[in-house]
Amino acid sequence: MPVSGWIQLVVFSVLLLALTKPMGLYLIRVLDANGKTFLDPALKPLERLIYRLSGLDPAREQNWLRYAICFLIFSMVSMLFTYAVLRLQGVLPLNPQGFPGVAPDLAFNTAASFTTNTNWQNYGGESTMSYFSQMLALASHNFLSAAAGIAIAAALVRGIARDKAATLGNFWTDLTRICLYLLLPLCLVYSLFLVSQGMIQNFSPYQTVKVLDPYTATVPQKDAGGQEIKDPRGKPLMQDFKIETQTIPQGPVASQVAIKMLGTNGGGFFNANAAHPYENPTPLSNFVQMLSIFLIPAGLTYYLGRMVGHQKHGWSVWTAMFLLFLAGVLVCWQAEARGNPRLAALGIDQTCGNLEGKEVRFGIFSSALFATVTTDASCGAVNAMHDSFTPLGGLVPLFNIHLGEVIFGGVGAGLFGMLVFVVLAIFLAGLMVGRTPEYLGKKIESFDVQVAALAILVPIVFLLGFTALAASTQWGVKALGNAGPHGFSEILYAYSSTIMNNGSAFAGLSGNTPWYNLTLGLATLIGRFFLIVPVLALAGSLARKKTVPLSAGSFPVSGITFTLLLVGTVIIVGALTFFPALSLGPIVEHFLMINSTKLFLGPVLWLPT
Amino acid sequence: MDLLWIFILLIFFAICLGYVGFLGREGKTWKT
Repeated sequence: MPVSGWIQLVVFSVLLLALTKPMGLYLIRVLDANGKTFLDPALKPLERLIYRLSGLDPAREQNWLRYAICFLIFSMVSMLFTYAVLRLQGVLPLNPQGFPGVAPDLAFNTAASFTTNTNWQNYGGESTMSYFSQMLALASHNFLSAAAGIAIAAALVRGIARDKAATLGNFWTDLTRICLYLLLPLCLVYSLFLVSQGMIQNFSPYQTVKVLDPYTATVPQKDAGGQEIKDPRGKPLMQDFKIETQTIPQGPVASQVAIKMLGTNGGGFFNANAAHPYENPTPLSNFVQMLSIFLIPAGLTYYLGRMVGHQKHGWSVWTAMFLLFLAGVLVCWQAEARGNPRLAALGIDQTCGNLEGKEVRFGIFSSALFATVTTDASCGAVNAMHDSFTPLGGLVPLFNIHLGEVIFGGVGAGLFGMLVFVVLAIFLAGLMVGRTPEYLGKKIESFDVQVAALAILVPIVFLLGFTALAASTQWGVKALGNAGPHGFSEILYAYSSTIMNNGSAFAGLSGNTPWYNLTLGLATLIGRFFLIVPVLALAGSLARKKTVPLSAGSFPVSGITFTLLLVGTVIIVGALTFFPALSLGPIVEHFLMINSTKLFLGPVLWLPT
Repeated sequence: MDLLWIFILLIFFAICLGYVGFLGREGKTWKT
């Protein structure tokens, strides 16, 4: 664990802290329908035009029921639109490579994934998507799904802050203002910075270039129809193939990467995501990309404190998130820095740590930090392959996802997820001291606890259920790249990542099959909407309550006790729920790595023959 | 085939709307 890593960690943490307040102050203005920003002279006319064209009255507020229905209808229509664009991409413009329409099951999976801010990708961007699809169907969702997440968080905060109110704001106004005043301007500046670092932004056809060092590879023989030729035993016939040229994909990358990180979407333009030199050209672009994932979620904690009139509460939530982040990054970094003793036994130098699956230009620390940040948030972009991490190093991203991605979290989703845990923590504290739980002067009653429990439990039930189903059927198992506990981790990671709307993958799973396209697509939808509906119900319930002035008897929601209670609640819920599943995957794999000399080919999961 | 996937999508959102209706059924969280 070299000094350079510690310096990066300190600089990252200090910058995150420094940016929280300015971002929060700006969010307060953006999330107020009458708020004024320095961009008003340029954007106010456009905002008014949008309201006029859509027949929207921005001052007309909605109760939680109407807010939720608008959100659902908006998501449904935009998902249908995305599905249609992907299916029709073969006849749509900006398709210099002539890619055909996306297959129906993959189009469903992709549309669901991007609508829900998950960006799980069962396709390789450069080999499947036209520029038109990348920009209109996918990048537009990066903006809209991020804006919708922030809108939901704002609605919940308003519900907490308001006194005997029936409304939570206007979904359409929130969506418009977040896109116009927050995401678009930030992304414009951010993408110019990325271009300055060497990221490409063009509509050129892919370039074919001669490689400097031609080499010969052994590849499967194919017939005239492009099908692999197999011998009588069913194994593919191989042939030597001299490789003298390489195709270099092009495209409007910078504009998509900016929103992919800032909106915690994570869907890569290229299959290798942020490990690709065009998608993450320099150490500086790597550092800024990590910081930008946390920028808006951190600012939202300040927004919470200011809106509820208790700034220390906002900082306590920030601190709880930061402690969880710090613990994750230190464990992951340490595990990767120690390397893999099994590889060391084979004579492979591990003094620099476990470099398998990592970009050497980023090294151990930046890979571990990126993996932690991207799974603390619901981003899912990767600059290293999580599948190649050591078992404990890979456990950290997996456990971060299991905690509900509330460690700063996705834009909006992190805050409202953490506030659900706050309600639960206060309820548990109320039980322990034997008094009515109260949150910022509002009594937490049975309905509030019920919807908070629903928001946490329903996605978990589907996560574990889908995992069990996939691990016990050929549909699920035959797509695995590994046997034994690592194969189980691949399945668990896939459903965890999609249910919790992260989108990163343990790369060993071949997800582009009808089974995985259906179940992973459904998982993204369940994880998003079965969480947000009860969250909005909670917001509506809290908004209706009378706020009692805080007194000496009120439960303190700031300070060390509250912060540790919140951290404890998040960890205990995650640990109790997922410890058995994690024991079957990364934990047993860790003990096999340090104690066993044999590869595990267990009876539960097997490689297809 | 497209109709099948669109049908799945529509059914899912219908369930979500039903969920909204279920949680808001008593009216005490939203009636003015």
